[in-house]
Amino acid sequence: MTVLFGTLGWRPQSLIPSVKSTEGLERVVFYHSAHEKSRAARAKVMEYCNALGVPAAAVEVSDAFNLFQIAERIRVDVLRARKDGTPIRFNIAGGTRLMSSAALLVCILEGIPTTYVHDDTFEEVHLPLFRMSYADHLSAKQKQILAFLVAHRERPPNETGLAKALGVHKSTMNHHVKQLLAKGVVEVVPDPKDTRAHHVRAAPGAELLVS
Amino acid sequence: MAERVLISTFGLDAEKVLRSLRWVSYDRLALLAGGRSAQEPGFRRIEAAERAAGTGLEVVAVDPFDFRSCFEGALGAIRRHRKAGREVRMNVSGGTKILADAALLAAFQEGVEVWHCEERPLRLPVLRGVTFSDGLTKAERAVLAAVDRPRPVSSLVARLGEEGHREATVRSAIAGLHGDGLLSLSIRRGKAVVSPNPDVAWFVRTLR
Repeated sequence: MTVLFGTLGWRPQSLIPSVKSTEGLERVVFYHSAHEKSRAARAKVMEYCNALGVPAAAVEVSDAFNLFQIAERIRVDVLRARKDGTPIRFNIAGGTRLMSSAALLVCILEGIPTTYVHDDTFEEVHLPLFRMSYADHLSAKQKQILAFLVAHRERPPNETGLAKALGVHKSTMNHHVKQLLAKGVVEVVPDPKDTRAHHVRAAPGAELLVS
Repeated sequence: MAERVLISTFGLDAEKVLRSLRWVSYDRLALLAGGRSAQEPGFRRIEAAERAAGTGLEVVAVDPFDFRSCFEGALGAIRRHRKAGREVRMNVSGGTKILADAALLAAFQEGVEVWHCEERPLRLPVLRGVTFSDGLTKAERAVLAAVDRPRPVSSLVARLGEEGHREATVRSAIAGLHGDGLLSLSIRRGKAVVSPNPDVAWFVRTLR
């Protein structure tokens, strides 16, 4: 049995070929915007799934241009579906460019088989994806630092505060921060209240790298 | 400091590229675009801006409706500029969705910083310098390099054994790559045969 995920724009034809081609389809979960045309496309997809007797869940995203918000929502749903051990596939053809990119991002980070549907021919194209195992490229301490910074995104600490919070020496923390900076997952920004001081904060979207 | 090149996807809307030029620092600009895009007024706006800045504009022509063409164009541009010692960044705001997604995948594969510049600039969470190939074991790389055509598993195991790879490791690598859809396995005349998966052979070649 397979769970089919998808992004949907204004054309139901961008998703329906994947519903047709998925063997042992257990259910369909798809994301669409609040646009009237997207809602009309949702109705068509739901009608088709109902006719097949396949349970379908439509998720209306509040902001179809907020890539990270959409990616986080998709990732939560995907991980929940994964817990049951059911295979997943994802059709990223529909929706806004940012919805499609958000879905692709999750597929790369989670190693989910991904498909496209060609705009004119409606033919399915399988994308060659395998998992980008970023976890293997961050040390345990780096992951811990990143998780802390994600959790404290609203009030980013300075390096000394970060070292204290995680119980490591200041110079050790400086080494870790430099490495994370080189990998592009943290940013060092000036403290608006004190120009001599700097805060360390998680780069945008780092939430997606922290499990 | 290394020269910075911004590789940007482009369709018709110049604003999507011009926005990225305001937000992402760069020295040179390369556009990934379909052939017809170069005849559009938007292209001329970008070209005029770059001319005013005194820098040239590189155009990498792709078929914006063909994922493979877009991916190979993006990957080729990234590798070429890297080889020339430049720091590469990618903007995936312009052009078709296929072009944007293919460029995004190429940026992930090469560990290149990637941006979406729509209403505001967004940098995507790519680990700089970490590539898809880094996730492959030595044995998986050796198997991918050796399977350029259908080969019996037993002879592949023997061949890679001569290169110092243990049988169990090679078999596990074959199973893993098959599980990822990068190789195909079949039985021919009673023998297990491993072949390149024709659907993704073009992608696998970029990993070797």
